[in-house]
Parts: sequence; structure tokens; C-alpha cells
Amino acid sequence: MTPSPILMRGVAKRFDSKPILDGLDWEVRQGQVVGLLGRNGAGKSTLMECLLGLRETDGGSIALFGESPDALSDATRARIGYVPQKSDLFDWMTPLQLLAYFKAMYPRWNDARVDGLLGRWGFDLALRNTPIRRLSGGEQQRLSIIRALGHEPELLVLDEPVSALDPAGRRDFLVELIEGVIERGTTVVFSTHILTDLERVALDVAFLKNGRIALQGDLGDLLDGAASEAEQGARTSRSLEQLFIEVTR
Amino acid sequence: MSSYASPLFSIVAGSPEPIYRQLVDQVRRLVAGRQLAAGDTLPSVRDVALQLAVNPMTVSKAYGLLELEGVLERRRGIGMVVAAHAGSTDGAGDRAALLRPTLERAAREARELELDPATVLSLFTQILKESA
Amino acid sequence: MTRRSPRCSPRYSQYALLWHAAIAQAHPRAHAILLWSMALMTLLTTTVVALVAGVQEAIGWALCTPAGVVLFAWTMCLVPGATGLNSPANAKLVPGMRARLIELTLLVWLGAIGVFTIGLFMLRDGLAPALLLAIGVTLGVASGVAGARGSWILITPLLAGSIMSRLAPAWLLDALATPAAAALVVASMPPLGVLVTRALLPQAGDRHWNMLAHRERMLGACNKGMVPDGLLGHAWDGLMLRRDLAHRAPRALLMRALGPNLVPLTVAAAAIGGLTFAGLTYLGESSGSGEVAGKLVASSPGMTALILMTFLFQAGSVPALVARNSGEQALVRLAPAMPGLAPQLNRLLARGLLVRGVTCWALTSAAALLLALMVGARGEALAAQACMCCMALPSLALGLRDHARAPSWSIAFVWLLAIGVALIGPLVGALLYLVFGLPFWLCATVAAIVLAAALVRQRLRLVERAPWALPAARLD
Repeated sequence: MTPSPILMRGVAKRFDSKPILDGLDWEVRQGQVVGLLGRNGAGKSTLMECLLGLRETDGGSIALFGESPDALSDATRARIGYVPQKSDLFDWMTPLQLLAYFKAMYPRWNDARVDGLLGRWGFDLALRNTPIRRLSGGEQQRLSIIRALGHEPELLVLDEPVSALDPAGRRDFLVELIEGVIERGTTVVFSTHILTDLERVALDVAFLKNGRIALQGDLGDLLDGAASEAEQGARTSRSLEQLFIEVTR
Repeated sequence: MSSYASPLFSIVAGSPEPIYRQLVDQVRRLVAGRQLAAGDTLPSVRDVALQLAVNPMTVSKAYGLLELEGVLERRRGIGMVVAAHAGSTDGAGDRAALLRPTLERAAREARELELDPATVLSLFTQILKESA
Repeated sequence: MTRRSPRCSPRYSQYALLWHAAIAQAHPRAHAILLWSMALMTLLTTTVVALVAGVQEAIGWALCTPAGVVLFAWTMCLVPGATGLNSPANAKLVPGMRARLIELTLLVWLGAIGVFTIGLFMLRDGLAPALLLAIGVTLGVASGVAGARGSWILITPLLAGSIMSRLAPAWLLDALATPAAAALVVASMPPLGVLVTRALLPQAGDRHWNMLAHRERMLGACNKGMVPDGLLGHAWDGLMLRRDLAHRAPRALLMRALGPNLVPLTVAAAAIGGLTFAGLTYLGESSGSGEVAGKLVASSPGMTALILMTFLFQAGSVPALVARNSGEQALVRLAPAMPGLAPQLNRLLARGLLVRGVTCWALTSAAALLLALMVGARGEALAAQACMCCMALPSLALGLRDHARAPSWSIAFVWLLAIGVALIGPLVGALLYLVFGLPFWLCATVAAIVLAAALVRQRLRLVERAPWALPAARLD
């Protein structure tokens, strides 16, 4: 039985004695595409950072492919890809240098895929050799995504990956996500405020509220009202927006 | 890459109806209205997913439901094909039933606008005549 | 600020608000630190000078010291803070903010330099050169820190000033010693102050944005305004990158994540600074009279000190440099090529920083000694300068810290700490010389080396116990 990509039990995290994550339990199984939703400040970014071991937790256990984030083996780290919320890319390097840098650190790297993505997402030769500090926010975010996909991870964690992209860019990203990631059976966890994107691509959603995963399940079922115990027999169809507001109130 | 020219299906994300249900309803309407004849091949799950930018599992779920209903059938090597008997047994009554959800929505709006049924019906008749 | 008399309370409280907001950006308790250091240093220097020289000298120093401290705070804390507060949106849209900021900056500067002038007046009669130096240094460094381009033009007085007073042609020195020259300098202070302050705090517009962008880049490169942002810098970095990637050594890859390698830049800056110094000295000498060799050799310790300051600045900027790009450092940590356990990663980083620090030290010392050789220092003088280079060794330990915690001090204060640590060696040497009569330089060098080794060892142990160094600056 292969261990789940993500397994969190009782995770707690406090900032200045204010609890952000409070006894959080969460499991994401192989091949799931989960959208993480929550209000601003609910702690989605914190959750993802704690998940990957980038922040110390104040309690609980986390297992990524069965390993603790504090002691991830090289093989496991090669299977994880991450796109942080704020693309803080090394601004003195050019895109090509940045990609070459990360290529040197991963055992497996798909040059053809990276090259294809660079071409399709507007990185012409001139732009590939411009220092990153001269790129716009959207270009940097796209580069950040390309970098995460380069080593073909089995677990992809995305923190608001399209916040700086225009609608065309978002569509390109979604298509790439479907074609290059979901079709290969990658486990995807991503948080976004753009509910329409999430509805297209995610099969499961998890709502983060009061430091816990308040509601998690199949998106279709939730929208159909099947999982709402509060309304006995009233199977009203709701939009994701309505569901979001209802759950995170 | 994927062509964006005249897709067969369209979906509206963010509406109360889940995407898979929108697809199911659309296929039903297309078959009932004979735009999809018996024996026509539907685009593959992958093509639809890429064109609409939705999860292939959603498309596959819709196709699976339609297969269960008997509207589509799976042919090995070809994909999903419109079932032979699908359109023929659909009488006017069945087709009218497919229009019900849209009419219910229109009725709800008419109630909100406080229009009486006679006005609404004459308006609808006029529109039908215009679009004929 | 007790120097200004408040005209009307609301304005005074606005000034107080802006003052606290501006200097708190350097350190949360900057105001308290400033007041305490003013009091302590004034007390110290006044007592020492009163014992050594006369009462008048003591009064002069009692005035100059606090003014000097305030000028330092003005340059390193107030001006950066004010430019930070004076964002284009604030400058344009908040009524009166820019005006108040300009007035505050100007008044503090004029007040401090006014008191400084009075103090100088009591100390010596030729106050024009020293005053010019003070004006040039404060305005120049402030401009550099705020991000105005070309501020290095104002910094050359720092190099020229110390030479001018000793080697300038006689007629110039005489002219400067006259009261007329002094009066001229004093009279030029207000308009100069107004000009520079208004230039430092612009009101939106393209120039403002360019200044902000320049400042952003400089804060990363930590250099006094001389940033080779051109093709050459990138080409060198690119070549080195290709070599590092081919070898795939974890430490080299990790050091890449900290930013462009500043060692060549620092060494180049040091060498240029030293050469300029030597060049100016030579020019000053060739136009005047006297033994060229003797004067040049006499000024070479100053040159070495200058070069070492460049190194100390680089050493002091390491914590801030590591804290950059903390978002991306997360990605580096998740890469398989990096060690998987916190102590291992911390050790790798510490070693990388140490190696880089030692390389920088070796190269800057070599540059300093080479320049000293060129200038003509030989034998004991040269040995003394070599020992002086060793004084900077303890500051290597500044880069070894718990990088997971954000640096609570701004770069300026860490630089001061570096200088302070470098002074411990000479202090010990002086003590041993005075008490036991042991040779000064030998003791100082030994003390510095011992201190450096002890500090490095202790801090390496600290580093191993610390949490993950990357992503840096995530705690507190």
C-alpha cells in the first residue's frame, strides 16, 4: 500500500498566540485534484508552507509520501513541485539561467516540455535572456509554474498560481494542467480565489475555516447539495460561489 | 494544439449546475434535436477536456452517465458513439421535457417581474415566430 | 529633538511622528539607542579631552560629538526612512507630508551641522576643510543611500579630504584657513541643504520611480552607488554559473541562491578606492613640495583602513543578503540536490559563507598590501599594515547566525558592529602594550586571530542547532 501523498493529523500552527491552524486533519490521495478554498487570511498559504516543511508547526504530524517534511529524502523531494504565492524568483538571473540552475538540482528534467512551455507561453528568445527583475508580474508567475513542471513531479502544490495572469494566461495554464499534469495522474493541490478555474479542473474541494478543513468532498456532489446535512431533503443546486460563502461564513 | 473553432459543447463555469450535468443535458438536447444523428462519433474525452479546459474525469463522468442512460454507446477503437435508437424514440413529449428547466427559469423571472401569463405567452410566441 | 524650539504644537507633533516613523525603519528602538549613544559618547570624549587638553577643547568636543552622532543618524537612519515614507503615492496625495518630511530632514541636518560648526570653531581656527568634509560626507552618503544616481561624486571628498589637509598646495590651505572661507562654507550650508533635501525627496514623476528602482537594486548589491549593472557584470556571472552547474557541487549551488557573487565587486571596489586614494595622494604631492615618498607612506595606513572598511561592509551585509529572496529559497530547499536535514543544510551554508568571506578577506588584504608596496611602504611599515589586515578577521563570524530569524538590525548597524569587532584586536594589543610592554602589532594580530577562531567555532555550533536556515527570515 503506497503511502498517501499528503497526510496531516492534528496539525497546529500559531502566530503570536493566535491559532492559524488548529488540530487540522487532511488526507490527499494519489491522483486527486483538490482545490483548497478559504477566506483571505484563513491560512491557506500557511497550510501549504507547513505541509512542505517550510514553516515549523506547533503540533501534529505531517507525512509526505510517508516521510516527515523535516527529513525528506532526495527521491521524495524529486517528486514534489511547488509554486509559491509570491514569485520571489532570483531576479539577477535570466529565465534560461534559472531553469538551468534548477535542472542541475533535480535528477530528472524534461527539456522538451520546458522548451515547449516557454514557447507557448510567450517567452521568445529575447525574453528568455532578460534578467528576471525586468519581467512583469505575470511573466514571472508563468516562469515559476514552468519551473515547477520541469521535473515532472508526482505531487504538485500550487498557491494561487494564476493570481497575476490575464484570462488567456489562465486558460493556457488550465490546459497545460489538464494535458501535462492531470492526465499523468499527478496529485494536485491548489488554492485560488478564481472559482471558475477551480470548478473546471478540481474534482474535490476542501474548505479551510477556523484552522481546520471544515468541508471536503467531491465538487459535483457538494454543488448538488448532496453533502449538506443541514437542509433535509432540499437538494438545491448551488453555485460554487454560494457554497463558498455559505461554508466559510 | 487544441482548435478553438466552433466547439461542439460549451459550458458555463460558476453556474449552479455542475459541469458534468451541463454536458449531459447538452448531449441529450443535441441528440433529441437530431443535431447528433445515430452513429455519429463524439469527440474523445481528451479533446473535449482540452477544448473546454475542464478535468477529463468530468467529461468522462458525463459520458459514463449518458452511456448508462443509453444515449451513447462505447465502440472499441472509435470511442463514444450516439446509440442507434437514441433519437428515434424521443417523441415530442420527451423533447418537450428537455425544455422544462429553461422554461422554469423563464417562469421564475416572469414572476419576479410581475408579468401576467398572457403577456408572457404572447411574448414567447412572438419570439418563436421571429426565430423560425 | 531638543535642539529645535517648537513654534506651534501640531507641527511639532507632526515632526515627532515623522521622525519616529522614519528612524524606526532602521531599528525599532533606534530613538532610544540614539539618545543613549549621544549621551555616553559625549560624556566619554568630554572627560578624555578635558583631561588631555584644555577646557575649550573639551567644550568643542562636547559639541562636536553629539552633533556627529546626530549626523550619523541623519545619514543612515533618517534619510533612508524618509525616502521610504516618501513613496510616490504619499508624496503626491497625502497633503503636506512631503513638505513636512523635507522640513524635518533639513532642520535636523542644519541643526546638527550648525552645532558641529560651533564645536569646530572652538577646536581649531581652520574649520573650512573639516566642515567641507562633514558636509560632503553626510550629503553624499545620504544621497547614495536614498538612491540618487551619481552620488559617488559627492563621496570623493571622503577620499580627498583627508589628503587635502595634509598635502594640498600651501595657498589653498591658507585660503581655506581664512575666516572668509569659513564664512563662505557656513553661508553655503542652508542653500546646499535645501537643494539636496528637495532632490532626495521628490514628488512623484519618472525620476522618483527611477530612484526607487535604483534603491531596490542597491539594497541588494550593497554598494556605495557603484553598481556595474551592465553587460560585463552579467557575462561574468553567467560564465561562473555555467561552471557551477556543470560541476553540481551542492555548496556552490547553495551559494548561488544567495544572490550574485559580491566578492569580485567588493575587491574591485576596494582596489579602485585604494588606487584613487593613492592617485590623489600622488597628485597632491607632485604639485606641492616635500618628500613624496615619506608622505605617501604615511598615508598608506589610511588607505589600508579604507580598503578594509570595504571588506567590513561586505561582511556586515551578509545577514541582510541571505534574507533576500526568501520565497525562492524555499524552492532551493525542496530540491533534491540539497541536504535533507536541517543541521546539514545549515552547515553547508555556513561553510559556504565562511569560504566566501575568507576569499574576500584574502583578496582585499592582498590588494591593500599590493597598493602599499606600490606606494613605497617597506619593512616594518608593510608588516604593520599586514597586521592591520588581520584585525578584520573576527568580522567573518558575522555571517554565521540563525538565518531563520530576520535580522533585527539594519545593514548600517551591522556594519558598525563589524567595525567594532575589528577594533577589539587593537584594543587588546594596546592594553598589553601599556601594561606589559609587549609589541603592539603582534599582540593585536594574535588577539584578532584567536578571537576570530573562537567566534567562528562558537557560532558554527549555534548554526548546527538552529532551525532550517532556508527560507531565511521567516521567524519573528
